[in-house]
Amino acid sequence: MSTPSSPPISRREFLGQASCKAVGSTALFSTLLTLRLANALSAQTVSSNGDYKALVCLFLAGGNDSFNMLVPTTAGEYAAYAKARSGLAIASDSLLSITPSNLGGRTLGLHPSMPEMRDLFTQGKLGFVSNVGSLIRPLTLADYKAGKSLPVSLYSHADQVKQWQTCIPDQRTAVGWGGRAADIIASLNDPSQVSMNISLSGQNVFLTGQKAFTYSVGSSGATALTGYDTTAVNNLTAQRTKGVDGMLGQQYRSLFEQTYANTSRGAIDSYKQFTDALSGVTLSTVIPGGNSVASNLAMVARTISARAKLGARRQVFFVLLGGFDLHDNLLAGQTALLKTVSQGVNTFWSALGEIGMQDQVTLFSASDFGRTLTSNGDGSDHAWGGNHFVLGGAVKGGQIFGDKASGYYPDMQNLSALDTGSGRLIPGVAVDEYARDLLTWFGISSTDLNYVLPAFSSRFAGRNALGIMGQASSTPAPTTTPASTPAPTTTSSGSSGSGSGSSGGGGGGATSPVFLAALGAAALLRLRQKRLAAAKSPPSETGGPPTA
Amino acid sequence: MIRSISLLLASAILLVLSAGAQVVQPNAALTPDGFAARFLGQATFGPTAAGITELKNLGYDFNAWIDREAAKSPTYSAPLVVAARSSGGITSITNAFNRRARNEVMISGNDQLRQRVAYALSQIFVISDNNSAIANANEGSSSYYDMLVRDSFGTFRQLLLDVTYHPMMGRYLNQYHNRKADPSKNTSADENYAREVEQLFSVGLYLLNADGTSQTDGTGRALETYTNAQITEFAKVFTGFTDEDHNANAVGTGTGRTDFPSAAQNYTEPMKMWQGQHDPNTKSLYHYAGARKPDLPAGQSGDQDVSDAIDNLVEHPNTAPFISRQLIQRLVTSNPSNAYVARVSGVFVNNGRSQRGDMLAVIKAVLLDQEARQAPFIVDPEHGKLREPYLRVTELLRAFNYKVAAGVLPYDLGSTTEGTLGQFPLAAPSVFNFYTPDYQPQGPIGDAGLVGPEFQIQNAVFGIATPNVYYNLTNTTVGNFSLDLTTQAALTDPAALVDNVDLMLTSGTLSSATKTKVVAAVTAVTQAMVPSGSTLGLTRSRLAIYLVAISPDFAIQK
Repeated sequence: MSTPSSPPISRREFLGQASCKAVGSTALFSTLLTLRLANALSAQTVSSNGDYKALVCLFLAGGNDSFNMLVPTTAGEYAAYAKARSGLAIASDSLLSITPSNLGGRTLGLHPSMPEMRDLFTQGKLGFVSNVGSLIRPLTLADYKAGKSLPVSLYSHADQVKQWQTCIPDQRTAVGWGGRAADIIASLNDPSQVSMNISLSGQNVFLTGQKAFTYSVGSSGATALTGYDTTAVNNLTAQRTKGVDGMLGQQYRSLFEQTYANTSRGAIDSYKQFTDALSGVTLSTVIPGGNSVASNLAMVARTISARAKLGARRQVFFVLLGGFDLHDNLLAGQTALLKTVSQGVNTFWSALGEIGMQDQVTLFSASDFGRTLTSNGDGSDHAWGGNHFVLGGAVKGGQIFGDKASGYYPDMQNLSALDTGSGRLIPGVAVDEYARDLLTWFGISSTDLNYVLPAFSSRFAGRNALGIMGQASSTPAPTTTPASTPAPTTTSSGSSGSGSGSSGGGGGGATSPVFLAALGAAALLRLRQKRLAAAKSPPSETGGPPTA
Repeated sequence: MIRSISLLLASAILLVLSAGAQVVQPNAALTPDGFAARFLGQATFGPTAAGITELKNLGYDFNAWIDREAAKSPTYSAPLVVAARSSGGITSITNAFNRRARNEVMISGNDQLRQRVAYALSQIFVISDNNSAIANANEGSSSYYDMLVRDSFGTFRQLLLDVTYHPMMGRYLNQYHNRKADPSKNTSADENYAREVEQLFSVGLYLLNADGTSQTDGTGRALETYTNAQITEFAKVFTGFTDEDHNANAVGTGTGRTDFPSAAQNYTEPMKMWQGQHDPNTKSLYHYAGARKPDLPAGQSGDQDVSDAIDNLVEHPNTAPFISRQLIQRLVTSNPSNAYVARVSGVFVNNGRSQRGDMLAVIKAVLLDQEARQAPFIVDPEHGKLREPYLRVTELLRAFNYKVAAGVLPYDLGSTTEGTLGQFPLAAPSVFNFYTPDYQPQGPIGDAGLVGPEFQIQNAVFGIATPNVYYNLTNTTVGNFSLDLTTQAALTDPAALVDNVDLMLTSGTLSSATKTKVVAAVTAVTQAMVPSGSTLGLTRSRLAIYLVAISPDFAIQK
């Protein structure tokens, strides 16, 4: 039941023409991407058995007030914190004290509702990254005041959520870095109906690539096609199922009908493959009731456990917990949420231990933005940089990662270089840098990083890795990258050069990889149309009513 | 006319498959009613039995039908939500009620062609209620859609001007309260709207020929339409917009001040120009042959600058083919021939009365073109498009005499459906719509170097979720909607039943192979299989509609 294998224009032939005639020095990324995908087979043979890695994004939606999640406790710093936060400050004696190994004796405290994560930190399995946020480039307060290189719609939920997930903060796109990573690295997996990228929280930008898409499941599994059951016999469902299978199994002359039949068949098969792979996979780890983070992460662990049946050597997961937009009732609200997070993360760690995958999986937090240090009376408002955590056997736990110049954690006694007002802190570390550490561990090569994090090389490459991950990637990335891959943000064709300071909503634009990818398709289409125009004879019929 | 490449491809497939598999192709020998239904699939939110009869009474004269549609008064959505609030039926206008109001005008509006074109335009001039500034703006998003409805048959110039001034677009792409450059603070104007109005709403990224193909340099490289310097210049034009406050002399309390004055948020009326924040300097626009005002002098009023800049964009040689191709893609086919684009683009440039951008003439050119109408294209393997998921739902509703539960603003498909179709009107994930015009799905379409934009949201998730919506709709309810299958249930002959479904959903193009399978499934349903509370006729009708609804034959509009 395979699709026709020899269309008149083969992909290879077509791409060959495209690369000769159209690519030139314009970085046509989808073309390059297609080339990589076309070469995927060689990558699969490179990868050895047993190699597996997963990234899990835990998104704290609404903007976690993370300077109450990770609080300075050294005397002067705590006093400055308490003064800035006034009624929002957490009493020092209730904080769960930690002494990070790299802070030169400075101490911090975790939110009192997070004892499990405190223990994971102490055991060296969990680390924090301080003051991370969306940046177009490293930024000073003077730049900020001049309105230079500011992310689009700073402090807005929708935009900041996207920017965390896309790492393209100077424009609005819907392709995320988890998706772009999958575009590159999915070839390590066996051909599978189930996407490498799996969401427990519905469709999202993070997992959406140019080619990669999100496979969505719930904490109890995937959604079935209603009224379809291949085991049904001699009833209405049996007739319906037979009809569906019959129609989707036909060979259609229309390329469009055939593509639809393929994708529909694929969707049904994905469900079956995913459900079959997970059937019988159970966890003895106790899942706390009423904790969606725990139940969703438990499903992630079950999916990881079924990796062999899914043919997966790389997977990216997305789990979201909402409710963090606490303009009011911050203290009580955050206490409940962070308890959910801490117990959920701890459940995941136990589940990973049960399936023996703690070293192969890295969980990291993300959020819209940090929140103002100052109080609005009963809560805090949208801000910028915030603190995050990373969990995994490969994580250099027990440390705080961040801007070295700030001593890895901002000194609340001296925020004059960071504070844009009301304790909205300019991030010391860009999301790009945070992602770079994680992606490098995941196996994305420095060359492919140009595709996954298109702004990185021109904007942050000079900065050292944060050093979050202690374990180098044991497997080379797919060796399919064309040697001549141009960097997306530095092409000579740039009409809106990312090297020049852009203001407000500017920057990126026509040279960004997102658009370039679309252009690749456009260029291919134009080539084809040109050929068609040359090949075909002039129209011999004229228009008119069909019944004439 | 079938493109020679298609014939080549077809023979290649036949060669490959000659080993035994049957190659399924649509039925192209349609009845006059079938041709009418096919046309209504392109021009409305789905054919109805009454709509087919109307065309029959017009002698199947599609041109006359379009003229009748153009003469109808527009149906608007914002008044529906405002009336519901005024009557006390709802206490405040939330996003959910705006969505219901738009469902209502799209699904039930008497001005179907206008609504369908407005919906197509909403996927070019994108705003999204995924953005809280849009979702929380009372009836603002409906007002924006109504503006597209109003301008559907006007001029492209008026459309682009209205889009530019609409307060919802102002919020979405930041020209609202866009301040002129302030040298003392080293700030410059926000470029967001300038970039998108050029890239997406008018000229596009690459210089085009009149047939939509791109112009290239000596080495075959596509020539870019603009540089960032041009975006910066246009950004200066789009400064100074603020809320309309109906004060002829000033805005709100702003007399004598430079910065935007405080005024109540106005989400529905065109934004007002506040000269104090409009950049007064010269602006350099596009310098193409025949450009009327390629450079704007210093000191013009903000409104004059905007008007001149819109002229500069509308009359740019790129705009006609750029917009024409996308309208063809939304209404007729994903991969129009160069000649088809050129024909429509030619009408865009000149409607025959030396007028540019006559939208009604352009829509006629799109829908009445030989490539949209002639029967051989039905069996052209490269012709057609994946029906949009939202349209597949509205087509089911309209084809089978939908019923709506009583209530205030009852046209509710339910939040589950809104979230599982992968598409909902005015709810795109970004300004780049639900899919890009050049998306190439993997497989036969991508292998042939063709595009299939709607396939960008046809994946393993929506490939299950969308059929489940059809299942619920045919068997029970979706939101407040159900189908009235009285007519179909009375057709006791399975072949006659499937013929009816074929006409209503696939305009008679259902392939004989698929028809055979559906008839077999329906015939196999016995009285013993009928669920309690149903009848054999109803059960068979539901199965027939569901199977055709998820068939490749229906999914692809041809």
